[in-house]
Amino acid sequence: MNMFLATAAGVGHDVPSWVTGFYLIVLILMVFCLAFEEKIHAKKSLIVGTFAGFCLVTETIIGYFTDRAHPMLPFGNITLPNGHEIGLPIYVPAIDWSVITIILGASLFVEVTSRSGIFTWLAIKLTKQSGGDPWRLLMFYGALTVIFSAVLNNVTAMIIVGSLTTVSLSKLDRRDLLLGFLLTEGLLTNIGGLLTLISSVPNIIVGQAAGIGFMPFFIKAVPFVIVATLVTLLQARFTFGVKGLTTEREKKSAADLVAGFDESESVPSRYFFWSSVLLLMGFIICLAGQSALPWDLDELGMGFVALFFAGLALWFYKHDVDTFYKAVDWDLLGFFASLFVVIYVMEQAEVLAIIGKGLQEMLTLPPQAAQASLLISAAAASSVTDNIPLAAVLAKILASNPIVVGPEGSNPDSPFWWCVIFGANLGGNITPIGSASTVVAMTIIHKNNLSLTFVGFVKVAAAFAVVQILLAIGYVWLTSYLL
Amino acid sequence: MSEPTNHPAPSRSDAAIDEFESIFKRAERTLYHYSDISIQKVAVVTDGDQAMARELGDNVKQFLPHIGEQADWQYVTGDQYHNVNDLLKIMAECNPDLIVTFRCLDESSLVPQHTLGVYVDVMTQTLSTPILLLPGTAPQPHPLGTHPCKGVMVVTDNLAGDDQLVNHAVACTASKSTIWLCHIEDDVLFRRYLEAIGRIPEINTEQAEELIAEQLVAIPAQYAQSCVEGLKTAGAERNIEQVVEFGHRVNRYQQLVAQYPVDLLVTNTKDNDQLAMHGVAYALSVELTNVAQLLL
Repeated sequence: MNMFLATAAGVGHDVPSWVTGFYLIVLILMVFCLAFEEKIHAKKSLIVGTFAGFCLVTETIIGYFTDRAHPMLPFGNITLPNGHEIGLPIYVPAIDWSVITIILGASLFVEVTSRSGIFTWLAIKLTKQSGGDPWRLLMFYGALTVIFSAVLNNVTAMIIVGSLTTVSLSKLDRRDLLLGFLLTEGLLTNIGGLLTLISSVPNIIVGQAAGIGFMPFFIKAVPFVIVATLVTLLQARFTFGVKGLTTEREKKSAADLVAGFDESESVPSRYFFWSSVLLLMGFIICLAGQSALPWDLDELGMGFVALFFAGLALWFYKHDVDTFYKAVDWDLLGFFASLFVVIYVMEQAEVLAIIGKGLQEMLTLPPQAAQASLLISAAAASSVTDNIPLAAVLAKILASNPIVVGPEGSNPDSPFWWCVIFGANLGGNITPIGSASTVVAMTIIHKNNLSLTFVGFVKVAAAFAVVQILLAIGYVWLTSYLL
Repeated sequence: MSEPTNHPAPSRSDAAIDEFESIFKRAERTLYHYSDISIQKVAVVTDGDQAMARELGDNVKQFLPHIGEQADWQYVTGDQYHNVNDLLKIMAECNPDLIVTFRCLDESSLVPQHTLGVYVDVMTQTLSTPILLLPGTAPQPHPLGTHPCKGVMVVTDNLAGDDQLVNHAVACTASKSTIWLCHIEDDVLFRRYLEAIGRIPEINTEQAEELIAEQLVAIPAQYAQSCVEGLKTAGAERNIEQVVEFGHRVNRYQQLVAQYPVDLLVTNTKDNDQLAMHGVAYALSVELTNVAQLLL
């Protein structure tokens, strides 16, 4: 506590150091509660929402009693860009609505278009193309996992590819490979989550804070994702003994078995299927070209693009849109909104300034060492707790750090953004609770009566994660040197 | 715009895993694979003399000309065996690919009814060799007819994946013949399960009835369609008709045999759960005595 007080005293201006120390403890407590979410048996939105409410109330009261003339929370009207003032409760502007709208729009859009069978159609088509050869099947499923994680989200990708893996390997009578396949797919979801700006929440949060556009993000992420996917697949081949079929008889038998899958079964309507394909392409093109949209349309932001396409897709189910509203992950959205409020309160209490000061020590190391340290720290932290608060806190701190943003106050090309992005995503591969998709992978593994403990997962997955993190460090060094 | 259905949306719950597994299982088809059934040796088993056995053999050769032309025919007469063990020993020595015989061998003094007789009963269970059961009984045989077999009805309670049944039906027919692939789901059993489902509040009974019934008939229907395609690819095209429905099995099969020009019934007799003959197969083999049956 004394350390907090001493540090806070050095950074704070109007905020008493004991207040900063108090909220730092509250933040740590919240991170612990999120890490033990399963033990608490409460949803994330409720946990973080409770902390947000607590922080708002206590900081208001503390502000009232410490300095009434300058309350810690800046109550009052908000000034709009056109000079007008508007009265909003303090917790409304505290939320980053661009992030919330991207997540809401994208999840609604995916929820609707996935009903066209487009993703299951592709999955079955590739299964047949593999001819039932285990090594080809692993490569195809690996590629599918990465693409689905990038286009959908890593949880849905794991559910789709994991389910198909269970069915197809049972059909091929190769359940001995199931554990290896599911683990590899779980690990690849977090690599696929790096592909685009909207592929994972840390990407959205850091991307928005850094001002990285969809296309610049994609162009920078693609080489790493391709290399990391190939390396992971090769590592899986040797770790799990996945070999190709050799004799013609084996090949024919396997091909006959997978030929029995009918991809058209998962397509309820050809019209809806092709419309969804067009919508999906339009969605990706608009996101990619969002910053180049004419007539000031770019000002509406990526969140609007996501909501616009979700609205278009919902016309397919115009009488049942409430079904999709119910299917939205309100827990996740409530979690984000509450998290932004907590971070806002922490910012006002100078907690972020303290963490930023600690981070400053790391960032002033020689560039390569600083980048490696930040990436490894982010990975280590996200392996045991939620990577979203981590990304949100780090993004907020880095956005005001001169080493990162430079004298102009904005530098989307800074390698430190990528250290957080890579670390927050890849850290999820170290433990089974590191990311939501590895939790799903474990669920499918246990559903199939395969034995894998927490430690067992770490023993196998850590080797993959270390290789991926080393690749990421090398990639950040290389790109920062080249650019 | 129409509102497409049938495809569950992904959710973040564990139930989504099960939903997608179901989608992929539904897309899984059991495909038919044609293989030529080679019958090189036929044993005609009678309880009469050599002349009677040969006459019977000639009738069968007319009935199944493809088999008749290429096979080596052996005749087992009544004086060669006196009990079931004797007959089983002869069959073991002879090792035929097909046994041709009557119901109720050597039981003329018993006036048998609604039974296969002890010899056939034991042979169906102890031998893996298919048995062609001729119409009528040994004491009261029915004429086989003089025309080659043109209509075969495959009778089963689980058609999907039973390539063996279909391949034997194909082996017994010529190219322009008709094969009826029949799969009757037991409606009494289905109602019983629905009654149980009706007592579970978590399951929508109406929806369950509709969806389960749909899947139960979809699987054999898809397999029957696969048979059409598989036979076409193999160059063994037949006129395939499918009868996939719910009903009382024995009654419905009797109606179907009466409804269509069926020359031969093909059915499975082996039951993994019991030593006795498969329930439906036994009922049909003792009830439908006026049509030839191939018991596998």
